[in-house]
Amino acid sequence: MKRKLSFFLKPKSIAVIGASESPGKVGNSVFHNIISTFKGNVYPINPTKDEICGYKAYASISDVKDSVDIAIICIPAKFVLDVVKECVKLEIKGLIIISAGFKEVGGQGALYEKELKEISQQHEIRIIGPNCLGIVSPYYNGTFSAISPKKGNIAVVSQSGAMLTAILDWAETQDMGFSNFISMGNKVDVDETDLIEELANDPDTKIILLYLESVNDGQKFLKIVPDAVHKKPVIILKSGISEAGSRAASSHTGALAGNDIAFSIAFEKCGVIRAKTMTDLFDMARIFDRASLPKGNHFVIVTNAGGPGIVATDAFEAYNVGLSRLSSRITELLRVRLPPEAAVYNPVDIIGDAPPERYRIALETVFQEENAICAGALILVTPQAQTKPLGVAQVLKEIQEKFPQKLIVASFMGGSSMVKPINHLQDSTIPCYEFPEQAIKAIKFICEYVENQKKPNINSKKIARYRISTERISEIFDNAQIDGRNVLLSSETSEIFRLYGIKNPKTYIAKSPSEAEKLSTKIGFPLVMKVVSPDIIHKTDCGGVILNVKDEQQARDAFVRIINNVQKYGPLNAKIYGIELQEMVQTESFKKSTQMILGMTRDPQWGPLLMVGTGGIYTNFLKDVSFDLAYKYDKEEAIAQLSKTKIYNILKGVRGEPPSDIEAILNVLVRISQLVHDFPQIVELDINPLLVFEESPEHDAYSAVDIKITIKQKKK
Amino acid sequence: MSKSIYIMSTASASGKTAVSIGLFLVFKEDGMNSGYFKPIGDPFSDVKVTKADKDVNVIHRMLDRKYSREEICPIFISPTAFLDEIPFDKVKGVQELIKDAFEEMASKTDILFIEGNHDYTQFHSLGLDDPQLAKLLESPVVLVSMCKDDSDLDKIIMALEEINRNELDLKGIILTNMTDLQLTKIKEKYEQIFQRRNVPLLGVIPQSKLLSSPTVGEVLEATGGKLLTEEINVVKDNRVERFIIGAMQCNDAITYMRKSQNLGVITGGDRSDIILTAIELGVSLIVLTGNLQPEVQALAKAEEEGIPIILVSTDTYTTAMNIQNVRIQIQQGETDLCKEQAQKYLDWKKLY
Repeated sequence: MKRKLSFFLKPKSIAVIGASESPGKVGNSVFHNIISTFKGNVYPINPTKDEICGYKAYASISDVKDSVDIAIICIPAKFVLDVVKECVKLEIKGLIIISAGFKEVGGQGALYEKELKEISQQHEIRIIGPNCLGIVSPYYNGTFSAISPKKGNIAVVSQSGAMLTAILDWAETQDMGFSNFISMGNKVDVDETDLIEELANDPDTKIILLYLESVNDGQKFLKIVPDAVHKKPVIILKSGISEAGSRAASSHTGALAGNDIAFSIAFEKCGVIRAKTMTDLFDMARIFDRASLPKGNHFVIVTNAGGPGIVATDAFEAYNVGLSRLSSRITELLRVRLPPEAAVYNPVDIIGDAPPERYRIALETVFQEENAICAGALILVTPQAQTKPLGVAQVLKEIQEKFPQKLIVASFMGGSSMVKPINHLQDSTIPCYEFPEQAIKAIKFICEYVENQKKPNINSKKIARYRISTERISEIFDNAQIDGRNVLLSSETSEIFRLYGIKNPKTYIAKSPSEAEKLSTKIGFPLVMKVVSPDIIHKTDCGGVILNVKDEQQARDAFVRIINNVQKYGPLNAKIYGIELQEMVQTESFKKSTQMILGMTRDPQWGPLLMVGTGGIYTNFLKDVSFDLAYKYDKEEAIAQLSKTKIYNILKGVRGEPPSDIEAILNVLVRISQLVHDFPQIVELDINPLLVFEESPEHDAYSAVDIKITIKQKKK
Repeated sequence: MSKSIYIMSTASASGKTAVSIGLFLVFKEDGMNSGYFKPIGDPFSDVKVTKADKDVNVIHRMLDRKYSREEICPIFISPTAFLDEIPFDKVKGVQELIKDAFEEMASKTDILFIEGNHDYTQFHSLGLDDPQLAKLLESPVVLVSMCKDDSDLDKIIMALEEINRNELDLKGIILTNMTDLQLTKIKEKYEQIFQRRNVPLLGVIPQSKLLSSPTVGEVLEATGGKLLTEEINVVKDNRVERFIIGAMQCNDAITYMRKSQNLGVITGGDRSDIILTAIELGVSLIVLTGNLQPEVQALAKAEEEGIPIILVSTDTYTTAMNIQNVRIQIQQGETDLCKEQAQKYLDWKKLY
């Protein structure tokens, strides 16, 4: 169990290793920042000086006789390891290694980092960095950046140091206060999950914002972060969404970017709010920082202009945020209290000549509604001839005081005339946005957060397990490895699925036309014949599948045809193990037959990612599939996943068709989830098609027709 | 005069060297003073990785350097420009040189295995093809051939007819590198064809990934590339069983990469995502084309995981073709496998 990180946020004493008096040196900037901001004991370490900036200097960290909480290291990389070992011996709690020259430069630097990682794994000491900016907070500035943020409640954690300095600089011009800025650098020890966990318990932090390019350990994140999110909002900007962005992220961090879908799902499972842009990140931060959580999820728009009201209405719809349907009592009251030209339904348009008082009247009226009907209001102010924006801002403050339970979000649309009113709201709980869309997006996320808080923590879920005898399956995997295969043969996949209680048709492999002829009679007709080759991914495309083989002679001919087709159209030198003969499922005997695809790919950061959707040969073109991580996966998760596909409606039964055996699909999904958990060596799995028939009382109206399993090659 | 067996093949890379080495070692273990002779070798390569005909080098070391390379292989002739090297009026001299060297070597051994040219037709225009050399050396012959499909059977039959035409003493045929499917076909079809022609089938050797896959060193040589990671000696003998070109999106590439063992990935140096995925999946080799240097992070990761990266100046297509044409040689450490295969799959006593 590694030591918690609170000492990094509020250390009692700090040593700066590499502290310098020479301007321009990192050690000088860091030491200068520390002595200007930190109130505790400071120890400059420099073997060539007796004194630095009036502080007694020490030749080495071992010469400091007092206890040191953290050491900030800013010396060349080649000297860092020795110093770290010294700090371990002295039982210093934590290190911030600002020095660069590690993994990011490759070669010797990568070796230094490897050793650094080993040290951190073997000892209690915690390490932030290397190659990082450090930590800056209202408590101390342990970086080489001269800017210290305004005190507040937002913690920012970043994988990119430059991103952090840009935010620090920008924050000076904004109405936001910060509790911590932490740069993680190469994440040799302390990573995003550790920091989220720590900041969740930090009383000075109300919201945690992160900029990430990768996640160190997906499973750890899934275990820890849901707890943190139940304490406070965690908003993450994860870059590398696009293919090109993902490549850039890989280049930058030297880590695999992972599948972006998996990131989104993982964040959703944990209740993390995902920002897609920098603007989003701070728009969301603003609402969480200022406002109280809303008590409902329907809102009123109060505007002094029709156009912005319509734009806002569209955005409410687009972001799927509820618009209040005001009761007739309230609309009647509004009709009485507002000018006859005003619109009294939502949006409430108090028209262009509205003085500040009219905003008061409208809001006091609509806020009479219960929270369930009206949890708050979006106020739109446009600069018209009679508009007094500053007066409106004052009214909003007073209304908020009177109705503290209601969420008020404002958009003062315009330029110079709106600066004063916006500034006037800075010390209030009313977040203010330039345009209504930003405001509504922020409202959407705060509502989602509230909804998420009502859900139980995913980690509290108990997952029932099927009892499976796994020895035989391990043996199958071992045999495949001995045979030099990563792809299992159909006979092997068929056996594994049967052991996991998933039905699939009878299958044999023939090695010659005459063997095909003989085996065909054991199965019966008609049957399907398919090439068995790990090198052929799309069998149909190269003529590797022949359906509806009706007799022995056709089986013999099909064998030769498939071999010829594959040699002609398949990949060069594809290894062919034989031709599979499989019972052909007689779909005509069912009232309804639907082709589904079920699959799993193991994401390098998040583990097994399950897929379900429309199957058959058009799968790749229709792209009607949905994904979920096989983490705490049960039928509840399975139905939620399946219901995100278009085929789900067809499965439920349309145009008089009977419903399909949806329960059977859920069973197969849950069993696959267990299989891929039980055997981490499975890296890919596909069933296409899984034929699903009309609902049956036993929930077994399906057949897993074509199954592929790929296992991981054992590392040499 | 000792016995000699002339081993010829229908095509290059059919497994002649593996069979020759295997037989050499099996007979040695059986108490014979066995020898090896290669009438014509490949000239030395200019590329630094392998400086000489590797087959000869391997045998030279296997024989504990008892005989010089010149004794084992008296002449090296370019397979592509032999007319420039050997004018027709010099052919007789070459034949005499080979005959003398052969007799010298034969006098020192109980049984001499003669490894023929790349295929039995090579140097036919000079009269130095395998059937004519076997006749010159009065040596019984063994035909080695792969048999991937029926078209290879045609080649075998043609070779057998050429052997008959030259009135050579055919000891039998050895089929190599056979897949499971072909093994079944041999039993069902080919055996009868050979029986009808009175050709003994001396053995059928199944496919061996080890002996049929190029090494990192061979790929390096074939592509003329530069190894960016580690010292060549650490990785040069690592085998690469299959290659893919990583030009697709990373998530799609993963599916292809996961399916093969000991994989080589050909991609551009700017594809850090593909490179990192390949490293993560533990491939055997990464070849970067177009002289695009990889990101330092990717290179560091490859170093850390011990995965070799070769940088080549050619485009991806040319690189893939160069790799496709790589000539696979037996490595020093694989001679035991050759012996094991000969013992297990060949009716070698029939060669006494």
